[in-house]
Amino acid sequence: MTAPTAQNTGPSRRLAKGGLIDRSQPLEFDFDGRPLSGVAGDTLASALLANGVTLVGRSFKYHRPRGILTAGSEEPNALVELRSGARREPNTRATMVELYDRLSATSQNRWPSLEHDALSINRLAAPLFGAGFYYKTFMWPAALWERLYEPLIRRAAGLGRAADHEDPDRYEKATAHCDLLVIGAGPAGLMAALTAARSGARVILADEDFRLGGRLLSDAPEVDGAPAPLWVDRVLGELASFPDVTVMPRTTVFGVYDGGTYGAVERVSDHRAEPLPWQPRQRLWRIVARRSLLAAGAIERPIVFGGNDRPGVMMAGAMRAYANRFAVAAAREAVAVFANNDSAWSAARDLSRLGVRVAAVIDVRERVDPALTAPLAAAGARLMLGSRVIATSGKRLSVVEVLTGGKRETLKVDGLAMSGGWSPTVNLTCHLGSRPVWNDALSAFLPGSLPPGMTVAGAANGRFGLAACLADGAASATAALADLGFAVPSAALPRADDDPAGLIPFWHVAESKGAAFVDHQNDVTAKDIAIAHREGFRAVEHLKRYTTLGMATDQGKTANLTGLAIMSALTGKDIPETGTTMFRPPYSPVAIGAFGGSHRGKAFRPTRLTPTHGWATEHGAVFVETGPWLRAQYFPRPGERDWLETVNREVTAVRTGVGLCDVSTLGKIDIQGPDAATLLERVYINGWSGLEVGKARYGVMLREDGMVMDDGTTARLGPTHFVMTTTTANAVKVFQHLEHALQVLWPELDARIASVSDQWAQIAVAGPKARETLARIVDAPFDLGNAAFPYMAAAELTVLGGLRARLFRLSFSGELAYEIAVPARQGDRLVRALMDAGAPFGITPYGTEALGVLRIEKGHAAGNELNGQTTAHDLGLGRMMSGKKDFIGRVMSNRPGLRDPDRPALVGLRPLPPGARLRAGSHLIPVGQPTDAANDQGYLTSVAHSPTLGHAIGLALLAGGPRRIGERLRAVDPLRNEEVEVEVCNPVFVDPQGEKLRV
Amino acid sequence: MRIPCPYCGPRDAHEFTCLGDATLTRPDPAAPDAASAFHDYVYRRDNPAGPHRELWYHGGGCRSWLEVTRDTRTHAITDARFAADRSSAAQGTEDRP
Amino acid sequence: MSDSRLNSVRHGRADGAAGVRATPLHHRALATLVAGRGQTAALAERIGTRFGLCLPTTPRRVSSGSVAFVGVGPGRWLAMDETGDGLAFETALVEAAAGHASATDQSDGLVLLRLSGPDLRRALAKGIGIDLHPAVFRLGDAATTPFALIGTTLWRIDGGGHAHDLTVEIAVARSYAADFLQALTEAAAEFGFDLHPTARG
Ligand SMILES: [Zn+2]
Repeated sequence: MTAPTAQNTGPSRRLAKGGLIDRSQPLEFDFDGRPLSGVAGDTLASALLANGVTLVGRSFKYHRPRGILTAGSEEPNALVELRSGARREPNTRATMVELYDRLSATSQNRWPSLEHDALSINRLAAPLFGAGFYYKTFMWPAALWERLYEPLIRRAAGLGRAADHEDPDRYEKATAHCDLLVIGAGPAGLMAALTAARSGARVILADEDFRLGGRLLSDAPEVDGAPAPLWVDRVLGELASFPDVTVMPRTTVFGVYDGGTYGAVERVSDHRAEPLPWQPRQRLWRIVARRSLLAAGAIERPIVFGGNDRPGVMMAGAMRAYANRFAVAAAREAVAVFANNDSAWSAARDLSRLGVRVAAVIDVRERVDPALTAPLAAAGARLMLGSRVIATSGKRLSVVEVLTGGKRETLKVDGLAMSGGWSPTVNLTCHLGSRPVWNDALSAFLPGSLPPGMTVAGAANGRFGLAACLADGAASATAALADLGFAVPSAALPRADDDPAGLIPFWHVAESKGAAFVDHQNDVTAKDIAIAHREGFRAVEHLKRYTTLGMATDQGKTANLTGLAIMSALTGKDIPETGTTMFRPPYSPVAIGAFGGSHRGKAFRPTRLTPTHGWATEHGAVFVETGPWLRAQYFPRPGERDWLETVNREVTAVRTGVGLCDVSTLGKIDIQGPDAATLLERVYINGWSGLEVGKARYGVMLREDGMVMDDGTTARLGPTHFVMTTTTANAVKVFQHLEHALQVLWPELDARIASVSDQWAQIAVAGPKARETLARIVDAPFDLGNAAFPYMAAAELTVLGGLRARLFRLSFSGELAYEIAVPARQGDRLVRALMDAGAPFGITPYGTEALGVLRIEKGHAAGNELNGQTTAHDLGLGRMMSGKKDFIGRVMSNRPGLRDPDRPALVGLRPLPPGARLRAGSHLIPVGQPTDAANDQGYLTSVAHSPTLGHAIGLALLAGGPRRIGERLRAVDPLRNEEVEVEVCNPVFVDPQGEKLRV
Repeated sequence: MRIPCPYCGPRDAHEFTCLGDATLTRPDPAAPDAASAFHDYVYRRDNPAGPHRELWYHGGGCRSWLEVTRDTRTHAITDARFAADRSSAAQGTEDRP
Repeated sequence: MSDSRLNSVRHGRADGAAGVRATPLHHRALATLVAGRGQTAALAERIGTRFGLCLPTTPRRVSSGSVAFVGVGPGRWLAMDETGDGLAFETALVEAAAGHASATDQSDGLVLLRLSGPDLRRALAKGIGIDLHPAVFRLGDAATTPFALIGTTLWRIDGGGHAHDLTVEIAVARSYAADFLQALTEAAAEFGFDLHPTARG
């Protein structure tokens, strides 16, 4: 049955004349390594057909040979890998690929070759892959699944291969706004866009095709007494003259979202081997439209009969499009047509006119309008009314078996055009959840309730005739625009005829021999639906999941309705009772790269640079991402072996001399107004009203649920003027929190806040020599002495001869330390001046690593401890809580569970073996107890090597923490399979009395 | 989704952060039942199918906290106003600018 | 403008005139002005008297002489003075507001750029979600909205030329400025982008 005979090419099937192609522009391409040629205006599918390539892929489950079924984005079969290397893209629809010179495509899902597919044996194992096979397979012994079934199924059922390298192309995202978005540039869409443009509206006309016109290109009718493409060109020419009209070919509107927002993908460069310079490969559009008009046309549906998937069997409308638009005969010898409706007769007429021999037209109907049959009879076609195709044969179609007049007859043809009627492309109308509505007269689902702002026109709305489409497009646009207040000039409609569209519902040839496919892409047959019915999976959602009907990348555009109809026949219920077809975004697959746009790699999110970034770069800083910021992590010097040596040096410099560190990343919020202090009282747990002007205080804020949200110092610069600092990580969150307090909780408060995070460059100068260093830059007569400017003092002053500055005596490191702020543009000047001033003391720049070590040595809680699950008590800050006032989180922080003395609380840990290393994340288990969840008493949140103490130190959240100082525990790291015995200690490892910072 | 900010005009929902139910009022912390009142305020939420008054923060724009009435079934937004106006009107204090 | 164009560096498409141009606006004093609760009317009166303009209550830019106010939120403005020094301008605002508002110097917190060119709208559309059509975003209109996830405030000014040509000034937080220019350069590359070299400084 499958003995290979012909090669996968044949003599050219390009018709001698006609078509909307440019024969003067030949394009070379290759398919599976074989050089072929097409012309400008071809799709890959039309070019393959022109070269006689009818076998283009193997099917998903059964590896059946497959050809090209359609001429549009609904294509389920002809999926190929396009390009190679880093640009290789699987599952591209050959019907949507615009041919370009030196295009390279490969067939998928075959091994070792398309002609000789070793795995087509799957067809013999078809029962294995039948309805419900996924579910049944999952019930097989689990041990066999991983070793046996999954590898087998993956190798056998995979479609295409993703590229192994990073995508070399760029993607963009953009937003567009318009009064009217017209989706689809067929007759209805063009007429609508023209009507809207002439009204002065802002219009976007988008179509997935590279050439606009829709069926006007494929059906070759006349408009205004001339070939339709001439009318299309005229309309496009007029549209181009309006500045506020944007025509977007190669653009698929793939989704409808709330608030009149539409998602679209523009294939900017997919028709080129590589994008032009500065051009993205694709651009993802968010289109905000006051109104939209869906003019997406209709999709022809197959008839389900034996062998309806054989290469050579094609949709009648597609065969018509290949002949009219691309001047390609889909068959070499002769075609038969099998249909239940009039449109297929028009297709047969066009084929016959263009010189394709139509051997027979097989129609399930007993009677067909003689106006349709006569021209075909005259051309020598057999008219087989009241008949049906029951089987096909040939690796590529060679024989069609017909049941006619109660007898079986065979026809020798190499092409079979089928048509089960047309389904309006209602997909986008369903995206916000509405269901389409069955129309008995048309045997089709029509749009149900529509997304706000959308109207539907033309074939998408069940108006199949050309004249009707043109009129509907104009009328719908007029109505939408009038609604928006536009005066729409009336204009005569172009002259056109309506095609006959008679039809009787017919879905499935019951007498079929061999597999009869419903869903070509997921290899779902009529028999699978019968199995689903027999096994009780009759509701449409069950049917889909049990058989995978409609769940392939094409969302069952050609399959859903026939599947539903077959189930409906089995249950005896009518189609609307059986269910509806629903669609979700995207209409057709969108590359993930397009959704990412330019936000990938380093541009994944914006990066903030500190005011001293340039200086730090000059000084060889290694940078680290902390939230959006790029901060200096450490400053290696020549000869240092590793980062640890560098960090130890930086820490030691701070403890013994002086260091400086850019802390501009801390959030800084200016708070002014008569109620500024009241605001602080309500957001911080400690008291503020008593804070003197010229002093700073450490504050802790809670969420309303009682957990710690953030901490930082706030300084009082005037009676009604404070400047708050937040942690780097929470700067945005705290600002929002304050706005919430002022706008939602207590709008009666008059406190005015402004972010000054970017206004000030702030540098920490820390170490015993900090005062001497600063003394060299502050302007006289400012007194830095301990009495005049003690610990926690704050002042506005000038430095470097008149430069405005703010000075805070704060210490994160536990040393004598200051933070000095100058306007951000002066940050570079300040850091250089400080380096000069501190040079005699060996001033050392330090980064975030040393900052971390210094704070762990001092037992300060930071991000790892402020993890949203810790209370002030847990962090040893409970005594700060004022009992004299209310503040956010006070009531909830007193819940018994949060005051439980056995809650995990902050402690220090040191390893008992002196040289041992601690691992953050290690679990704390009592000595002698098994390592299990029941014995898990906490974990290490932060660890460091302390160069000051000469051993590892750690902070931990330990159940009942402070009560257990001196206890020994095991710190177990199950990931690394390491364990070290530790002793619980005071979290303040260095200078626990806090003497150094007050000198 | 687009939210009609009364200051900025209609903006994409990406510019906003949602905090949920806008009808809750922070309880009196001095009341004898403060503990249970705060529990309800922090944790208990209705989940209505239909119109829902929600707090949205326009962090990407004017930084206003808004009270937005959104139908949870359709995402249709029927009203958006400054939360500060709502609160101060309720408490009889002066209007916000 | 012409001298800055001479000094500009071309990015992206090299042939023809630039579709987008960016020029930094250094030396402008900037400040945030925040009205006290319920004091907008009183503040508007004071500011009006002092600077000779009508403080906008919507996202608009209003100017008088060298001073302009851009509405950035209810009771919030970005104030600027083309001639002033930051601290002096802050002080002038504090004095003018007489307790009805607070003023905070932002001259170093924000980087200001003037953007123009026939393709500016198309370039900005790659990062900004709002509608910048000249019939919608009119002269004097302002908006606070992110460009490529980076917060910005922009306002339309009269850049001369055709009524449909878009010229805006845009303010970006200083720490984001380099990333903003990177994103703008990418967005404008296909149109040819003239960037004044000091903008990156
Ligand atoms: Zn807003």
